[in-house]
Amino acid sequence: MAEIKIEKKAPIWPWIVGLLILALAVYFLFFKDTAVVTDGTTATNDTIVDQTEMQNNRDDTNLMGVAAFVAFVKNDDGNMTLDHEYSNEALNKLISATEEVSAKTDFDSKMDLDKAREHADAITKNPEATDHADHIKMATDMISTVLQNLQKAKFPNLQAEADKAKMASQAINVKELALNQKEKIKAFFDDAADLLDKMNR
Amino acid sequence: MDKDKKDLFYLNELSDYKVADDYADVRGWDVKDVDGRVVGKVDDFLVSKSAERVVYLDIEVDTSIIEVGHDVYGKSSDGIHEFLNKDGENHLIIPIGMVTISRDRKDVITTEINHETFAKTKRFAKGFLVNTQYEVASYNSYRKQPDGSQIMFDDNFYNRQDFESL
Repeated sequence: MAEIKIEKKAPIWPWIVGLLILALAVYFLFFKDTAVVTDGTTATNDTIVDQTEMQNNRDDTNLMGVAAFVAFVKNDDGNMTLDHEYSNEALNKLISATEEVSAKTDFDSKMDLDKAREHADAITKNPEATDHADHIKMATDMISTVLQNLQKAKFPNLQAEADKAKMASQAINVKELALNQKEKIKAFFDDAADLLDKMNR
Repeated sequence: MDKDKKDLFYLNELSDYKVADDYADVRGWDVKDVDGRVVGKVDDFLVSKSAERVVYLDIEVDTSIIEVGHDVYGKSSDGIHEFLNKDGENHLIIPIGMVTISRDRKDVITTEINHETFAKTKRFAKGFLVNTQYEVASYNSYRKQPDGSQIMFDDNFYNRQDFESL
């Protein structure tokens, strides 16, 4: 003889309540924290971006002329790239800085600086050319001459700095590849920056 | 048992009840007559809520039962009608105490009811609200008394082995 008993099902609501509590616990333990972290990260990133943009703005806009050149030279880690973008940019900033000081002191240097700019631009036109050192040296010689003349005319107390920049320019060897004399080129920029910084005070 | 108080329910109606653990839920299993012929499948249970046990198996009968009923028992040559089962009336009930359950074969076997008796038993359409009148009729169909008398529904109706003495 068969027998089949029945029984009441276990109530399901405790499971539902338990799962809801578990889900809430998981939410608060993980997603809430993640949300906070995410928000925090986003906020931090935004801040970083804002700060970077502000820095860029300072570099590109606020730090014009001498300040931009000095900042550029001091922040450089000496990584001169194959296409000499660094040298080109440094020279152009140096020319702009010299123009700024010239204008401020009513000293005419436009013609020489325009020629120097042509040599500076020639560096990046053909990255494979081997005459970059020629252009760099021509540009640095012209700029250092302008700086020396400017010093003699307007800043007599900065002769030592002007001479030092001139000597640094003369140290650049046209027969040697520019990449092999990065230190010499960098030294010129450092001396020029030091001179212009003092002229600008 | 108080016959005025509804105590029989289809298990499917009782959403908060289930077959107790350690008991076979035989719904969907084949039902075989005393000779081993399949007569249908278990579709549901009629359960006593107060006793928390199955009282009847609700069987959806096989077409062979329906066809036999139509051919032999639907009309009789002497004009006397047996139970007249209409189209769609393909369910009947069996007291739980009149079957054995084989978990291995997953089937249910009636211990005393043959194919002919099944065919002659009054059937109902699925979902029919089983009442005491139908219970008595089907039980008397299965358990015929030697003297031809009819068992009536009373307080002792379920106090039989066929109902596992509720």
